[in-house]
Order: sequence, then structure tokens, then C-alpha cells
Amino acid sequence: MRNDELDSNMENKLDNLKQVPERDPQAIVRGKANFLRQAVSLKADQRQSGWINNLFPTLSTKERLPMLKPIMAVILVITILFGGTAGTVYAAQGSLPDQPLYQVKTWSEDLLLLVTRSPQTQLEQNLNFADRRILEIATLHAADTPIPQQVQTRLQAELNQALNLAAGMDDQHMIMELQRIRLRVEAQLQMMTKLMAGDPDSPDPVIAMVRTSLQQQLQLSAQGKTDVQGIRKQIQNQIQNNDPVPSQSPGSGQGGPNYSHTTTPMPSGQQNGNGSSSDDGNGPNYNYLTITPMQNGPYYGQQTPAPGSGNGNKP
Amino acid sequence: MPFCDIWKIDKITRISFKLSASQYMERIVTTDKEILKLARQFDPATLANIYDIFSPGLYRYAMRLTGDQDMAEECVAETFSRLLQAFSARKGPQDFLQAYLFRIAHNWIVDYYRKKTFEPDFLDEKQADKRLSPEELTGITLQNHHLRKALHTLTPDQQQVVALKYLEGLENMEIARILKKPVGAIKSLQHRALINLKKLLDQKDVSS
Repeated sequence: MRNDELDSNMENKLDNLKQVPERDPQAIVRGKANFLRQAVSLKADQRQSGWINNLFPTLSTKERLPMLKPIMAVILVITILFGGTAGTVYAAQGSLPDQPLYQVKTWSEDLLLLVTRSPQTQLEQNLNFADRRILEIATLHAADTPIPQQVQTRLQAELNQALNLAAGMDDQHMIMELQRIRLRVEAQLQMMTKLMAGDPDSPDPVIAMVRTSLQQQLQLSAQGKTDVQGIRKQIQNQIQNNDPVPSQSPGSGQGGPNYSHTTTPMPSGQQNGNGSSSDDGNGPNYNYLTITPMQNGPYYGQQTPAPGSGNGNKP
Repeated sequence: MPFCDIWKIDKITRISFKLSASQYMERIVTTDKEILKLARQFDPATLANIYDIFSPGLYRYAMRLTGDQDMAEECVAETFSRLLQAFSARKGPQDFLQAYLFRIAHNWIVDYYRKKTFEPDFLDEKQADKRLSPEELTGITLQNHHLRKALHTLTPDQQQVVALKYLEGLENMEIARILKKPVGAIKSLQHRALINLKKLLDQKDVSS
């Protein structure tokens, strides 16, 4: 027998099987209706799970389900973590120095400064944070709550940093930024003066310190209009002279913050008034300081000798 | 796949619908990727068209292998249901729908008889050819029953080759596409299937 040939007996038997009765027309209609109904149902399901299909286009439903569980769990954990963190940071923005969330507030400020690259934006942020400190002092004073030294320290550091950033710019921008700083510091000083005026007999020592500090900053920023070339060195010296000593403020626990000053190379064209670099001329052209964020915060940490400053060991 | 190949492979549809070559070629175009693309989007008109084209052939195929109208209808319904589920899971046929449907239908029949013992098919009044005498009708019914029983003792691939080749009249090349095997393998399956089938039927003849 050849592969594709049948004997006649087998052929007859198979021929009998070929006879198929007519299909019931009602069964055809019913079958088609069921088929189309199922199609509509599946189309609706597919529309609902469209985003999953887009994520896993090659996986079947059975394969997707076990995968989705851990993915959903991870998404949930991330949402809780980040959502919770973001919520805490948001809630902390209105906190005062005597409240537990204040630390979160300062951390968020430090972080914001850390990730900001533009000097103009950094300067603006420092001024905004300084305004916040003034507001905190005013609020605490109004509530008859002792003002922690930490607030004054941060305020001074923020204004120093603003001045320092302005000093790092070219002459034209530096004048503009010093003017901006001056206006802000004037407003801050007015508020401190008002606070002190409300209690002339026994002014709060921190408010007094803040006021003195603001006056110094104002004087320094005002000088920018008249002596552009020499102001950079003055700012540098002023900042170093204003470095806060470890405070005895209650609650600081670490003897108060220290500033960390590190240097940033200055553009070669931006030198001090006598035409030389700001140091003794032996080093590179570093002639101003940049207060960089350190591990304990932007302005808190160990001091780093500033090349060219010659007094990096100053506390 | 060349158009002429599709034309050959889809011969079942052509025969069942008694279409002219041009009508059939016009229809076969819609069985290509374009129609499958629409079918995957659950386009009702396309799916209705698919059912109209392929359900008669599938019904005949199931009917010949089972001899039971209800079971043949169930087979057709299940085949189309599985097709939709495959579309829903972004799977299913890419370019040759008919082969895919025959595979599903055959697998369903094989699975069905794997779970159940083969029962004799009773004479259905509706199926009876009025020209035959009751004796002749009974003889044919019994013969068909023995043949189906013998077919179901073959391996699934052998069953499918015999059914597609000698009941549906497909060419080896067409069967090769459906079984996803080379033509040589189909010839070999066919040869072994016929030997086994003959042996089984001869044993039955001797015993009866």
C-alpha cells in the first residue's frame, strides 16, 4: 500500500464518514450570538486591563498575576515612604524652632540649597530662609517663648552666604545683588527694631544679637555701591569675623554649630582691589569663600582651611 | 506566505462555501493579517465574518470525528471561545487562522475522548438517509462507529492526518501547515496511521 493510497474497502468506510447531516440553522445563530457576546465581554475586560497589557505585552494573564503582586507591593511601599516623607516635610514648613519638626524644616532647606546650582537662585533662597528666621524669631517673641541661639546662627549664616554668593559674581551682578540683599536686610532690621521697641527695658539677648548682626550685614551690603573692587575682600573678612562661636544655646546639644568654609576658585578676572589675588599671591586666584553644605547641614561642620584666606583655622 | 499557498490551504473554506476562484481569493485576503488585526481588536463585523467563514468547516470536521451533532456544536463553540481568549491574551494566530482553528478543534476532540470512553453513536432520525433501508442504515451506523473508535485509538497526530487527508480532502502541504510539521513527517504519519487503522478494522471484522 502506498502512503497516499487507500484500499477500496477502507476508502468506502471513510467515505461513509464524510456524510454529514445539515447543521441546525438555529444552532448556527445561537453559536454565533454566543461567540459575539463573549467577544464584547472580553473587549470590555481588555479595555480595563489595557495599562497592564501595555506594561507586559508578551505575558499571559496567568504569568502577569504573580508578577503584579510584588510590583504592586513595591509601588505601595514606595508611595508610603515617599508620600509620608513628602507629607512630613510639607508639614514641617510651618514649624517653629521649639517644635520637633523644626529639624525636618532645616534639613529640607539644607537639601534645597544642596541641589540648587545657580548662584542667583541660591542667593534668593538664602534670603528667603533668612526671612523665615526673622519670622520665627517674631513668632517666638510674640508667644513669650525663648528664642534658641540656633535661629540667630542660621540667620547669620544665610546672610553671609548671600553676601558671599554676591561677591563671587561679576561687578555688575554683584552691585545688583548687594542692593537686593540690602533691601531685604533693611526690612529684617526694621522688624527686629520693632520687636526691641516693644520691650525696651529688657530686650531679648538673641534679638539684640540678631539686630547687631543685621546692622553689620546692612553696612556691608551698602558699601557695594561705592567700592566694588574692595568689597569682596571686606565681605570675606567680615564673614570670617562673624563666624559664630560654639553657642551655649539650650537644646543644641553639640555646643552649637560651626560654619564650614571652603574655597571656590574665582574667575581670574575677579580679583581684589589691588589687582592681585586675595591672598599673599602665592596660591591660585582664590579670593572669596564659599560656604558649602557639610554633613551636619549647609553651614555646620568642621572648618576647612580656605586656600588663600590664610586663616582657615579660625573657629 | 505566498498568496497562492493561502489559496491552496484555505481550500476547505472555498469548497464549503462553493465560492468561485475570484470570490474565494477576495475572501482569503480578509483571512490574512489584516483581518486578524481587526479581530484582535474584537471588531464585531470581522468576528462575525470569521464565524460565518470557518464554523461550517469546523462543524463538519467535528461531526465526522465524533458522529454527534451536539458534540460537534460544542466543539465549534469551544474552538471559537478559545480563539477569543487567545486574542484577549494577545496571542493566537498571526497569519493562518484556519490552521489554528483546526488545531484547536482537533485538540478539543482528542482531550474529550481522553477523558471519556468512546460511546457508540445511536441512529439519529434527523441524520437518517430516507433512501436507505433500516438494515442498511444500521449497518452503516455500526461501521461508522467502528471506524471512529478505531480512529480514536490512533495517536492524535495520526488521527488528524487521516481526518484532514481522507475526510476533509486536504493536501499534505496543507496538513503540514496545520500540524506544524514537515511534509515528509506528514507522509510518514499517514503511512503508519493507515497501517494501524487497517489492522484495527481487520481485527474488528474477525471478531465480529
